[in-house]
Amino acid sequence: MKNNFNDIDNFLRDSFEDFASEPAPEFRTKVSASVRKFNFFKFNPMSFNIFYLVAIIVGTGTIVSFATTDNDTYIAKSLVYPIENIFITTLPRNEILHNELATNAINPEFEVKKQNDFTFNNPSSDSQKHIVSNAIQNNVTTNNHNISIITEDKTSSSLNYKSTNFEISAPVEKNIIFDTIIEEKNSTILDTINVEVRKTVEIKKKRKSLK
Amino acid sequence: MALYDKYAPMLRAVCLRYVKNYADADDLLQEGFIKILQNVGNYVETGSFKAWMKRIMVNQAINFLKKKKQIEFTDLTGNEDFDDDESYNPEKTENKLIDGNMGPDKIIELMKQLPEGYRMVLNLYVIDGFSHKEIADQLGISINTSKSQLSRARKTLLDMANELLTQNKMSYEKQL
Repeated sequence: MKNNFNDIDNFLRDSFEDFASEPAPEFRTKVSASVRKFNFFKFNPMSFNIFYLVAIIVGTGTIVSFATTDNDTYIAKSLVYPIENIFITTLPRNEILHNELATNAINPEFEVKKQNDFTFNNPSSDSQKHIVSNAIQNNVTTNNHNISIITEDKTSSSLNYKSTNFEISAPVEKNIIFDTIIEEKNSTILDTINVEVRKTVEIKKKRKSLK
Repeated sequence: MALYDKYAPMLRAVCLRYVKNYADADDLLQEGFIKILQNVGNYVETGSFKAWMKRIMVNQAINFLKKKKQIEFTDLTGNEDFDDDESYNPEKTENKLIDGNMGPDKIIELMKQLPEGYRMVLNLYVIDGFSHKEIADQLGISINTSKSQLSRARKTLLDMANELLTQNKMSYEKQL
């Protein structure tokens, strides 16, 4: 019986050894589509695939993004001049200033003593702080400066002068990026403790249209 | 597609042995072919490429039928030994399967009528050369179950072949 089973097994093996069954022609189209889909999701430098498609999409998106970016940006500099450590000194009552200074003391005009130093003799402005702010507005400075304001002290019979020195620290530069300048203005902000002069540029964002 | 054109007929023949109908055979062929393409880089040239592809197709067929839950086995209840099935004596029965010189197409038609478990084990053991242990591991059954399924598959196939050939002979004689 085992031999018979063996015969059956051998018979079946022999029957199917070279057995082939041709698929329908339309089935080849179906398999071809599956193979194309399989190859599309596989990286192959010689044929177009999903990796190339993603690269094209990312590249196109990057180019479009740069093309639509408005490159006309303006940088507004806000220069803030903080004034710290204001020292107000009073000259001794009997001290006489230098002749030159004394002479100039009666000159109501502003005079520049040295480069980057400003001395205001007997200013006609109503407040010292206002003088400082005007000086800075009219003369753009970026480094430390000393401003001396000598005022006539008329309370005593002699000519005394008050010298007020201001040490102005270097301005703090703050950069603000905008698109279009629509207005420039200088503004002065005064308070009882600090004097700040700000030069600001107000602008608004402008959108460039795609061409 | 050159690979497909050369080996599709052979692979389709493998699929036809395992499934019940031509539609399932084509689906299995398509899935198996993609699987071959996915793994072609792993082929080590130690054996025949044809045999390697056949093995992939057979594994795909097993997974295909498991997914469709089409494999059912009758488990043994005792310690039956199915190497010698005394309940069936093929020597007493004319072996028309061999004598009738049936072609593979006809045999496949008969195999389609077998229960899935019989057909699966018959294919794996007899034609594809799996051992009972390998079959048991693949299908999650015991070795004895594999042996019993094989024995019953042979018997059923023989009976079906005999019946078919007897019917053919009778209808031929009637025509005469």
